[in-house]
Amino acid sequence: MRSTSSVSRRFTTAAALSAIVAASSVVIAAPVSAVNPNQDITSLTTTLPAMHPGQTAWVSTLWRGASKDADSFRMTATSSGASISYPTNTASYSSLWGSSTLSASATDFAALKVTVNDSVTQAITITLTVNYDLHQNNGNSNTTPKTQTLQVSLPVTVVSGPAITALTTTLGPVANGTTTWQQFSVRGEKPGVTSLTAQVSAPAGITIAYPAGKTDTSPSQLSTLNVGTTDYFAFQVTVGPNVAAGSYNLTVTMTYGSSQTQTAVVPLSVT
Amino acid sequence: MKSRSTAVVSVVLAVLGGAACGSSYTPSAAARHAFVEARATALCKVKTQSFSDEHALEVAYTSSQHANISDRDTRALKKKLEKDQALREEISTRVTTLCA
Repeated sequence: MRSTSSVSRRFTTAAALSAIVAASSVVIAAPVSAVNPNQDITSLTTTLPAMHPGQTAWVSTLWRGASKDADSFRMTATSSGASISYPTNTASYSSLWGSSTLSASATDFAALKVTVNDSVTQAITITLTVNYDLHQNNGNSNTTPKTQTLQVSLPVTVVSGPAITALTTTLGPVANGTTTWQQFSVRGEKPGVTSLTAQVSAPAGITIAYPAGKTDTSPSQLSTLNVGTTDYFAFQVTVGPNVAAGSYNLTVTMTYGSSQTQTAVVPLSVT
Repeated sequence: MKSRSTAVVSVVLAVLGGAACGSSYTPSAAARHAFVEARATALCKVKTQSFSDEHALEVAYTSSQHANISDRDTRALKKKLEKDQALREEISTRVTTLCA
């Protein structure tokens, strides 16, 4: 009886101790597992968003902080298949969005402006070099700058359709006997759309005029329509008083590069 | 004696003032969850998309960071981000799950 009681007490005591140890482990383990154990910052980016040949776009690389703050973060990039530039405020490198410090366990991003070369037809590699300071103890209280070099992939998809996409699908409405300015919007899909101009032809009774009395119209911003950018042509439409209400097709002929042409038909609503 | 009373009153006012400003305010778990989700979503957005210019990137990131929580919760959680490594870790872990 005594023995049983003793065993029972020991078991109870052991169980209680185990429970306390287990509880202590949970309490002690929780903060350790709740923070990033990494000793160095790490890139979360292996592949950038896909782009087209000739396209210019801003892309971002994600960075995850180490177990201590990383100060003075600077990233530069190079590629044989693209040209790279950086945010206006830093000019020669990219910093992080929040600041130049990647706080312990935080995730932040650094952006790059990438222009894919016109001749590229497949994925390109971008080499990233990041410099930062983890203030590791090197024995003499000095800072310890670190450098990482890594490569990320940027998929490139070649556009198989036309070089220019017409974004305007209808024009007007224009009342007969009146004159109005119209805008025809386009987006560049392929590189090489330089010296771009447009001429518009219309059915009888509808006359077209161009800005400044010219014989054609140019894009409002640049004569080159870069890949992925939008612009518009402006032209004046005069609908004669005898033109009946209805829909009339206008043909827009766009000329670019070495005399390449592309046409688009857009209906004009007359009231 | 007068200066001692003034000091005591100042301390009391400072403590009360701090409480009134919400220095000890702790957002709810739901608010914290929504905050983490919005931050992670914003980071994933800039990771997976390209943007025509810097402004478009900025707009996309800042608008995605907006969580449907009170201004008080937002202020408190933004402040916590500066000191609370566990909160930053939660966001980083969510980013990994969402898009890394």
